Amino acid sequence: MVFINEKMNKESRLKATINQRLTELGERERLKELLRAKLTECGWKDQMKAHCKEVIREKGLEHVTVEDLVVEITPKGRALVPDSVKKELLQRIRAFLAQHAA
Amino acid sequence: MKMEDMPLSGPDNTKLEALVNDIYSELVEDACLGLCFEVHRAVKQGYFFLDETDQESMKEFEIVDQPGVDIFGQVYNQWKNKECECPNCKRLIAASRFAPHLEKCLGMGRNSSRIANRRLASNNNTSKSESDQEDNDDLNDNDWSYGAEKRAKKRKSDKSQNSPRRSKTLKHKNGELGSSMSADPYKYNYNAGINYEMLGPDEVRSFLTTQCGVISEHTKKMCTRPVLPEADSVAGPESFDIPDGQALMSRLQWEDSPEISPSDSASSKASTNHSDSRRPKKKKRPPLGLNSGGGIGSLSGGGGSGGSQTNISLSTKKKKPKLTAPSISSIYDDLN
Repeated sequence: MVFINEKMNKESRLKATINQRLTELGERERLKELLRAKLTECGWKDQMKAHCKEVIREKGLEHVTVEDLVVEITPKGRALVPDSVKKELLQRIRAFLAQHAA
Repeated sequence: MKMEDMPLSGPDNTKLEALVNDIYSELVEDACLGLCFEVHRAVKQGYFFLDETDQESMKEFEIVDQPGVDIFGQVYNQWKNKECECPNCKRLIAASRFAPHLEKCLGMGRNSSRIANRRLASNNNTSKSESDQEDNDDLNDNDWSYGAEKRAKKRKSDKSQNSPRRSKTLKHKNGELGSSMSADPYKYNYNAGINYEMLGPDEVRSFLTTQCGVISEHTKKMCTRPVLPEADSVAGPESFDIPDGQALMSRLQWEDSPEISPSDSASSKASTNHSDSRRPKKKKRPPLGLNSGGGIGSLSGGGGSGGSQTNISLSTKKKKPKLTAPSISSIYDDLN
């Protein structure tokens, strides 16, 4: 058990470190911007907005809450990200790790 | 880093991959959340549905997605082959040429008045001037200048001899040069009446020692640029194509023999340098272009240094239709 915890600790430590590096070096922001730009470019944002409209019409304009939207939008959003965008992002993250972690 | 503790072998690679995927998921979720907040704010502020109007308008302006047509449903080159009737002259003009035609036809626009004035001026001058020799000389001048020769030939082949545009464009060039040279001491004189044949040789000499005296072929105006003190500089061999040295010499008629300096004939480079220092402004323009018409002085300079075997550097850009024969031979004597 201790062994597993240790391993997990190592992992989480690693993860924490990586995350910290990402933020420190500004890479996280850059990746965020890149993703946002790519999603807008490929029409994902418009698709999602259309979906939002449906949700809002369903729930009623006055009563819709952030939670409502999040619950409806996030799973669909994750699924609708085009493969090319996903691949590119993964590639960049991997490259970052290779450079700063290994 | 602590990574050294983690060997990058097979199973750990998956851990790394898992990590990468985790980071990716975080980023995507962040994007989704961002969108939700944006939409929610828009809803609460009331501008979310602002781009929607009534059903009818929405149908009318819907985005069109057909081939051959833009998103408004318009065809791209629908008017390419159409012709329009000019309200002024009642001619049928091609659509793409319609706007420029209107500009000229209605007498508005930047160039139309300039061209009209020039045409009027040259028409007036044409009726006055009689001398054939002068005309010949002016025509010969065309051969002198580097760019004008090509341009003149090109222009003549492009347009019909009778087309009103033919002389217009050349004149236009001439005129433009005139205006671009306004910084220089060049001035175009409305002295169209000057005819070298009418003046005696002495008058011509005294007259031309002070001014340039070149008469433009198109506008028939005489250049009143004051003669510059340094007589030696030449426009520079780089500018000119001198077809035939001898013919050139016979055409060149130099009055100011004292101003010729044999030393300059030694190398064209020397003369180039002279011209470089002396006329920095002139360099900018294609000085050659200068000449469709009567040739402004550079002509003469080029003649000297260019291809001609004698390499005379001629004093200032003077060119006179007549010259006293003894003067010519004296020039040659100096060189030889």
